[in-house]
Amino acid sequence: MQAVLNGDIDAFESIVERWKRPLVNLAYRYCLDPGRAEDLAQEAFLRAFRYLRSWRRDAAFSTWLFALASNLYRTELKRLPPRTESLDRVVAAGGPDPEALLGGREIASAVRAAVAALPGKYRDPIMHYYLHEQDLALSAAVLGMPEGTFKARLARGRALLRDRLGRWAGGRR
Amino acid sequence: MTEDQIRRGLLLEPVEPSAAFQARVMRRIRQEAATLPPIPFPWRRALWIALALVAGFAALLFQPEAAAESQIADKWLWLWGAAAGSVGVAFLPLWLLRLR
Repeated sequence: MQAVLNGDIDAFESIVERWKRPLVNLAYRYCLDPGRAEDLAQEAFLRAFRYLRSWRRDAAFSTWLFALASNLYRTELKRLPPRTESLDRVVAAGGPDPEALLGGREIASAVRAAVAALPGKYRDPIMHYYLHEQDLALSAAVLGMPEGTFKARLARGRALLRDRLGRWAGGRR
Repeated sequence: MTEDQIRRGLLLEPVEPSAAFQARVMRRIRQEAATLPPIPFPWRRALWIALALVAGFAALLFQPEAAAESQIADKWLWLWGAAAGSVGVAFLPLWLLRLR
């Protein structure tokens, strides 16, 4: 990190190497579009490079980087919302049978679509909690909210998710 | 759908960045680094100039009688001092905002 701050641009490549997968995946969870996820992650790295000097070392670099990326993704999605398909529409259109999908890759797609369709205040805690391997303190720090608030929103978000996915699965039986 | 299925769906990282992604990012970073940063406004220097102008304006303001009698207190010079002082005062809030 210090090398980058001292003007060694090539040193930034190791940062990109280390964090590209989580940043692209976080972007994908927001927009559900792999191409756009890469564009968003690229912009996040560019901003990280630009504002690296503003990183205060009292927080971990990863916390700072994820907070910067999340803010950028949220702003970009407000500007240009993603094309999301509601689970109800999937059901109405006669989508794949959830019973056949349980355990398959498609179930993960359904879960991600349901999360992306949640209101932002519940969507963000769920996305970060699982992206950061269920580290509550880190996820709350990235989103800049007290742990108590984070826990409450996470619980409410999970309840909404269970309800929506349950209805979706029930509608297929 | 069970809690575990939901959890597994959320833990999965579905996207692998493309092979060209890292090179593309680094190309943009190098472009960014190659562009010169804008020349910063010399706030420190401007502050001293502003303070000097304010001091000069204040001195003229508090000695109008004496100034009027002397050659230095020529009408035009006094006006110039007042105008320059105003400009200096205008810089102060800007500088204070910059400090925040």
